[in-house]
Amino acid sequence: MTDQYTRQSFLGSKSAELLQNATIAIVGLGGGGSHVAQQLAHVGIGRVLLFDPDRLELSNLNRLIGGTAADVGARAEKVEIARRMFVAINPAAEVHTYAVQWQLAADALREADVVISCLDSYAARQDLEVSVRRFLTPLIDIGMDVHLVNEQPHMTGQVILSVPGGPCFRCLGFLTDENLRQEAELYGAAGGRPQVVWSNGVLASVAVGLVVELLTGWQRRRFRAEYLHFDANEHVITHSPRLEYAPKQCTHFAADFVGEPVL
Amino acid sequence: MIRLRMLTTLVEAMRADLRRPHPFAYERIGFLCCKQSRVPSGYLLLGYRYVAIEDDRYLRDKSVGARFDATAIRTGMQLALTEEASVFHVHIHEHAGLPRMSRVDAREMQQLMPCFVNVCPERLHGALVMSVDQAYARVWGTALDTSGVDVSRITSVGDGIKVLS
Repeated sequence: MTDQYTRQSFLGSKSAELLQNATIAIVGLGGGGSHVAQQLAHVGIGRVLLFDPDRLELSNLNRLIGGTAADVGARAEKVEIARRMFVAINPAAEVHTYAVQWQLAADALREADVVISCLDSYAARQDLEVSVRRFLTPLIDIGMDVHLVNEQPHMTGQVILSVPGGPCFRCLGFLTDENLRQEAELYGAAGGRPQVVWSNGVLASVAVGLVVELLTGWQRRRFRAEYLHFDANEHVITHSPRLEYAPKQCTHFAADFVGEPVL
Repeated sequence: MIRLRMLTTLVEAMRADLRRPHPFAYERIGFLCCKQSRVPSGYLLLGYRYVAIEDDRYLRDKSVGARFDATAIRTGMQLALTEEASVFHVHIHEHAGLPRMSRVDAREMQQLMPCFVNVCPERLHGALVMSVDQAYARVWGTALDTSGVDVSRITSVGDGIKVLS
């Protein structure tokens, strides 16, 4: 283990090697994904796949880690900003960038040991989970939103781990026909969703913690799913009760539902 | 680079079956079916089904740990043909740590693998040697060297991600 990782050696004698040899994909390099990329570089992930078709805009600067005013002027690709940050921290890392919708580089996504979803919509999350389950890849979703409660803004968020074989987003009640329907009705009228840097950072940190636990098993915990709810006004993270009531095995994706769909 | 990925429950089911004593054979054998995908770095093989060899398909042969009959070989070939699967011959070495193919394993695979490659040449087929905690795999295919190519990374997905090789 190199000096760079001695302070995290409690993760296990082989942890540095396990993290170095892992391939992690981040889909969405905005406010959440940029935090995730930064932390994965710090913990020593050796290979990352970065997917985002967008370029940096001024309205992203309140939260996009690594982005600069100069990047706004240059209309820099978000994946390039993340790549620059990643290799600055971890020069030995292998970073692959895809400045397209992930569906247009789906064969690359299959190489990932874990996929982290930092997408905005329920529909996009559903598409991603359907795809990565076919390739036996654990998926971690992070997201936040702001609702008015008694006319006061209330920030909430979630971190959900979906592991093939275990309960999926639908089993966990996160994806429902109703929320997909409501989202579809609002399509084009929702505008930019509220986002702030500090709550994105909390959610991203929890996601990175799950990645490290999946890869190193340092807590010796057996878990097939995780559903954490973040009350960003109170600064409290709790286990969602939905986890307790979810089926132990997924009822939506069969275990032999793998590989490319046959059309 | 060739990767093999499967659910931990499937790995546990294979180990449980392969560790059962047989009435006379020293080892047990099974077939692992995988779906094959192309990825930028090479191939990704996804295990989805394990088929155990039935007890009466084994032949008495003290020169090897286990030998099975032509019906069992046809079972494997049928899986490759009808499911367009990558088929692995699977057995276990009863020790911890990274297993290796023995000289007998290597010799036998050179004879067996062409059966699978001939019926389903679009797929890679191989041998998977498990230990009690790790695994080793080698694949053969029309586009590969005749001596086969090692699988670079074998992982199981379930309660965490276990790197078996």
